[in-house]
Parts: sequence; C-alpha cells; structure tokens
Amino acid sequence: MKTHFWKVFSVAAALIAGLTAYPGSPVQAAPKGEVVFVQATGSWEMRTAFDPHTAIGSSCTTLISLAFEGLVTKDEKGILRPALAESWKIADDWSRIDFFLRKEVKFHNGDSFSAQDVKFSLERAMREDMRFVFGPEMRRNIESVEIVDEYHVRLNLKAPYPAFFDRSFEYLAIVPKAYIEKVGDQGFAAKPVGTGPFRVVKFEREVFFEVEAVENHHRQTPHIKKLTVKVVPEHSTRLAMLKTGEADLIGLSAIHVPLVKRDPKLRVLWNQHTFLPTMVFFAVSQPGDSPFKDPRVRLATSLAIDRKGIADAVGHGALTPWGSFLAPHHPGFDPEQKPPAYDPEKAKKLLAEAGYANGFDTVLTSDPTIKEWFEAMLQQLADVGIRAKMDTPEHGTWAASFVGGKFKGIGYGSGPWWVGRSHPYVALESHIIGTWSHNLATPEVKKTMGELLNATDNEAIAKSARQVDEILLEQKMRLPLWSYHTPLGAGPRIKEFPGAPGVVFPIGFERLQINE
Amino acid sequence: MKRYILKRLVQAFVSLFAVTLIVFMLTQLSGDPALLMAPPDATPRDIQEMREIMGLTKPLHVQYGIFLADILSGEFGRSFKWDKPCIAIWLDRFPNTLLLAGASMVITIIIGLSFGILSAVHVGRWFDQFGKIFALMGQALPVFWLGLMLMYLFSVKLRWLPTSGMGSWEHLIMPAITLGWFFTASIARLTRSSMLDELDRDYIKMAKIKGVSRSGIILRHALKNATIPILTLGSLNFVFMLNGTVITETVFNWPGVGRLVVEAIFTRDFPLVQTTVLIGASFFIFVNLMVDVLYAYIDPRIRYQ
Repeated sequence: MKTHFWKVFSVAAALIAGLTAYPGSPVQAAPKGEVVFVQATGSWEMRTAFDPHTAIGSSCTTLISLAFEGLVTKDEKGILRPALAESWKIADDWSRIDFFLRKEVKFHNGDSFSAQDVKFSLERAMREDMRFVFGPEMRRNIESVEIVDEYHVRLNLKAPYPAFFDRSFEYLAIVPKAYIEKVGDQGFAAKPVGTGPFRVVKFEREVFFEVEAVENHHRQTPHIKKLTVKVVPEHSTRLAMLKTGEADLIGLSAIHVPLVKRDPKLRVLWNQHTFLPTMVFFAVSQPGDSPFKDPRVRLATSLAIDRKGIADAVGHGALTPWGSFLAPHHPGFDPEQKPPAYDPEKAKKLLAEAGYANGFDTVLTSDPTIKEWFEAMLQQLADVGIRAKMDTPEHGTWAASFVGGKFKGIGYGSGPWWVGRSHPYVALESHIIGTWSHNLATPEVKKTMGELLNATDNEAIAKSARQVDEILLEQKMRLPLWSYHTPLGAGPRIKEFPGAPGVVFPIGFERLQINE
Repeated sequence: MKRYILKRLVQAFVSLFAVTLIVFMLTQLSGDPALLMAPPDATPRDIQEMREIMGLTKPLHVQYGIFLADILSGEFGRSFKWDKPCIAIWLDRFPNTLLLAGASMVITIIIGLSFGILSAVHVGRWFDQFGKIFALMGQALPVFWLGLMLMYLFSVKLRWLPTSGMGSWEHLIMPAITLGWFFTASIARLTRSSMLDELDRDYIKMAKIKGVSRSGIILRHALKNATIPILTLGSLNFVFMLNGTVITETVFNWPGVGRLVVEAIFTRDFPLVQTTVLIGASFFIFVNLMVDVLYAYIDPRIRYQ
C-alpha cells in the first residue's frame, strides 16, 4: 500500500496544529529574561531593511524567523510542521497545492490574518521590482495564487515545486496586506510587522536587531522576554563577548571549539548536518585525457583520504565522516551507508592497475574558508602518488571559477544540503544537476532526479532519493567527505536551545530557555 | 602662483578620472555579484535574470558611462545590497570613522609628540631607549594582534572595558589606541629626528648663550621649527585613518567606512566599492594638492620651477 507522504503529513500536521494552537494549548509561563545572540555578518542580506521579500542572500533565516512566519516552519528535529497553514494537500500531478490556514491569528499590529494576506504576500514576493532572491524561481513555478475561501489558498503551479516548502519556512514570510497598503513598502520596512513569536522593537541595519516576545503566541510563546541579535564579523571578538558575558550565545568558529570546551562556564551547541563538503573530479567533465577519467583512480583517491583522521585533527568536532549524499532528515537516507575505510595500500594498488604506479601531478582547489581540511588531505594523497598542488582563490573568484567550469584536477565542492533543505530533490538539485554540478550529471542521474521531482508519495520520494544516492556513489564523479555540524557557543545563562538540524543560521528562538 | 594652482588642479582631476577608470575595471574583474547573491539553489536562468536586473549585462562602456553619470549626479549610484544611494550609505558610516580617527589622532599627537620631544632632549639615555622600543613596537606589531591582545587583557581578563561596538566613551578607548599606536610611533620617530636636527642648529646655541630657559628653547624655538614635517605626516596619517581603518573596525566591530568597504567587497557590491574607493582617493588627492600649494606658498623656488 502506498503511503501518501504529503497527504499523511497534512493530517499529522493538522493534529499537531490542533494540539499546539492557542487557545487550547497548555498555558505557557510568561516570558522572562533577556538574551544576546551574536552572529557573524551576512544576516542582513536584504535590500531594504527590514523587508523579507527583498532578501538577496541565503543567510537571513534567523532574523526573518523571529518576527515573521511562513506557511510552514521546522521543529527541533528538522521536520517541516505547520505554521500559518494548518495543513496542505498537493495534487497528484503537482498542478496545485491547497493550503488550509490557521484561524484566529493576529499580526503584531492587531490585524487579523487571512487568505488575503497569503495571496498578497506571495504575489508581492513574485514582483520583479522586489528583486526577491527566490522571485525568479517563484515566477517560473507558480501560475497563480487563488483564494478559495477566507482560510483556504490554492497555488496553481506550472511545474512540480517541492522547494516551495523550504522557501516558506525560511524567507517567504506572510506579511499584513492592509498594513502595507496603508504605509507602503518603505513604511513597512521601517516598522515591520509579522506574526512571528517575537515582535520587532528596534533595529539598526548590520548592527543589531532587538525583538520582544509575543505573549500567547498562536504557535509557541517564547520562554525569553527579549532577544537582541548583534552582528560581529570577527570570530575572536565574538568569543571574547561570550567569555565576558556580553553575549549569551554566539555563532562560533570551529577553530574556537576547543577554547570554549576548556572553559567550564561555556558550552558548545551543534546544529547537526548543515552541509556536506564533497570532493569533485572536475577533469571528468572536461575534454582531453586525465587520470581521473578512470573510475579506479577516483576510487583510489577516495581510499587515500583519511576522513576520520582529518576530522579528528582539524574538524574540532564539526566533521563526521560521511558516505552518502543524503542527510538523516531526508527521506531515503540509509544510515548503513558508510564512507569507504581509509586504505592507502589498496589505493596504490588501484593506481598501479590503472597505469599510474609512479603517481601523477594534479591540482587541488579549495574555497579559502575551509582550506584546512583540504590542506590536511594533500599529504595523504601524495602518500599514494597523487601529487597535488594546492590552489585556494578568494571566495568570490572560487565561486565564479567553479560555476564557470574553469577548475582542473580535483577540488572542494560545496553542498549539497544547504540551510536545511527538506526535500531530497531540493537538497541535491543545484549540486547534482544544476548550477554547481560542474556538468558531472549523467543522463541516468538526470532521469532519476526527474522521477524524484515528480514523486508525491513518501515511498516514491524515498526510493528515488536512495536511487540517486546509489548512482552518485557508484559513479564517483563526486565524493561525499564529511557531514558538517555548525557550532554555537553558549554562555552560562543558556539552559537549552534545541535549534533545528540542517539549518546553518539558527531558528526556533521561541524554544530557547535560560537558567533562572 | 595662480598658474601653478591651476596646473595642480588639472592634474588632480586627471588623477581622479584615472581612479574612476581603474576602480571600475578592477571591480568588474573581481567576480560576479549575481552569483554571490544568489542562493545555491538558483538556476543559471535565475542568476542571469539577477544580472539583467542589476544592469550587469550591459556593455562595459555603457556601465562605465552610467557610473560616471551617477558620480556627477551626486548619488554615486545605488548599492546592489542596500538599494540606497551609495553616498547616503557612506555618509551614514563616515561620522563613526571620523570619531575613531579623531580620537586616534589626539592620542597620536599627544603621545607621539611627547615621546619624540623627550627622546630628543634625553638622547642616548634610558627614556630615549624606551622611546625607540615603543616606536619599534608600534610599527612592528600587527594591528589585529594588538587589538585582540588589548581586548583579551582589558575586557576578558580585567573586565574594565567593553569588547567591541559603539555607544559610550569606553567603547572608543581600545580601538583608538589600536589604530593610533602605529601612527604614534611614526610621529614619535619623526619628532625625535626633527628635534635633534633643530637642537643642533646655531640659533639654538645663540638662544642658550642669551640665557633663554631650557623649556623656552625646546618648546618655543626648536619644536616650532620641527613641526612642519610633523604636520605633513600627521595630515597624511589622518587621511589614512579617514579612509577606513579596516582591521581596527573589524576587530572592534566599529560600524565605520572600513567595515563597510570590506562587506561591499565580499558581496561584490560594485557601486558601493567604487564609491568608497573613489572618495578615499579624493581625500588623498585633495590633501596632496593642499600640501603642494602650501609648499609653493612657503618656498617660492617650487612655484618658479
């Protein structure tokens, strides 16, 4: 019997929503205390502060999640769950998605929430002049937004659009139609109003963002009364702020994890599985001869890398050796799929069989932000005869060269999985068949990815995702190396912050608790 | 004199024009803003659409013409990231940098001059040796290291000062010292050598014979004449500070022009990078022009050349 994932999920979602909705949910204690969270730069990647529909980057998740809500959100297990939509239903042919909305929700200014606001918000985000980062994608996939009744909205689609749910929890905030029509886009950006668990008190772009708890919030009233998010780009300064108590929670650089662990008053919290660093064999997709065109050489390269040794030496707890292209929160993930064991002798044998007994010279490129991991790999590769010269261009140049197909030899490939994409197609698309794929996708991979995109039931999604994973692992055009966990430094006042797995920029501050 | 000033003005404008061309070309070569702004999920079509919206698909000479027109309009173009006139963003940040630079300059002048004068007066003695070490350290210690060490000592260990940010006079102390020490060292060295030159001149010996007091000789005679090169160096140092003290502002999270330009470079916000670099270059060109004119005024040989 087929389990219709999204349909079953809709029923479950409705039940969860019913249990947690206010009124009717258990009475929550009044919010208490103040917390300062210090982030690295990047959280203000929106053209007009503070308007989520002008987001231009991929890292505003934290700030948006405080004051706004989308139709869905993520819980502490990284699972999508209802926010402003109580449930939803996807048509079997992906021609539409019906959203059934939560009733009795108020915006922070007292306006009532309804289907009018959803239609207005989605159409606003699709406006070309907003230059919303996901605007082109929305215009490509959404035919129209239709109000069926006051609490029922229908998205008529041009194409299957599983990514919509990921956009909804991150950026696609629902904003108040009446308020924006009254004050205009600029007025809204100056005094933003949402339905999130916190309301905006004041902010200064790129400097700080201060919010206070919304009591009796329809989803969850925050435990803390006030939260200030500050932006401090320098890692060491953030650490100093944590040590002096100026900050309660910081975005921690992995190199500072040992320093935090040594301090008995501080703790490291982890957002698990936030991205998957991979090694890419660029030469395979390029004309001309290359040792890497031989699958035995690619396998030898994989066997020559001591993933665990590197994780132990320079990972500081942020790296887990990984053998799959999927994360645990993706349907189809196989926990038994382990990375190959480090075996330099077998690697040498394979190279000899492929005609490279004396080894060969190549180039290993890396983004400078994670170069330590790849520098550590250089000697291991050289030990089996792969003599690589390291090249670490500046991030912007690296990105342009990667997408432009200019790299030779082997190198670091970012993602897949980025900021907690829930659907395996969305997590894999850009890096396996899209912009960051370096033309390494075979027709077989593209076909299976197509099946994954069109699947609407749980079994088919899981089956196709596992199939894509197996094909990619078999072809070895790209090797999964480690699953990366993003560290946060917590001071003595932080009791609990479950966060959400897979999400680099933390969300769920309504779940943050402090010690009395 | 008028002809000399006119000639220097023309040279200044040519230099500024050259700066606009160099800055424009370098930013174009530095990467693709659309690629950096787009999320990893963006398709090539989405990225291309972003490029078109940002005007990056227009021919280079057209983009350069728009850049020049934006400068002449006084807006300096609109930032890709902030969607505001670049000049407004720069003006928002500049007072913060001016405050930091001003505080550093006060430290630089008070400590640099004092060390330089005392070292010259006590040449070869312990204070002179100490002054040399102080100056050497100021010029040799990397600014980011000095900043972090001050933060570790005064914020983390002693808890006397806030680690970073802006708000009170206490926030200003460590960044001002960090920024000022390097320039203090250069002022101290120059003051010492200028003072030694002046103290060895005949008019100083004459003053001593005439019974002028020691403090009078040092402050009223020697220092007055030694000040000219110090003022020149001080002015240029101040312009350096105004141009954004990137490292100090980053370490101490000071929201000034330095941090602004770094963020603009990382996001490839071309109009904002061009604006900050162009204004910075204008400062230098203007100060150099003023110094040249002043020199010509003081020394007629220069203008006759």
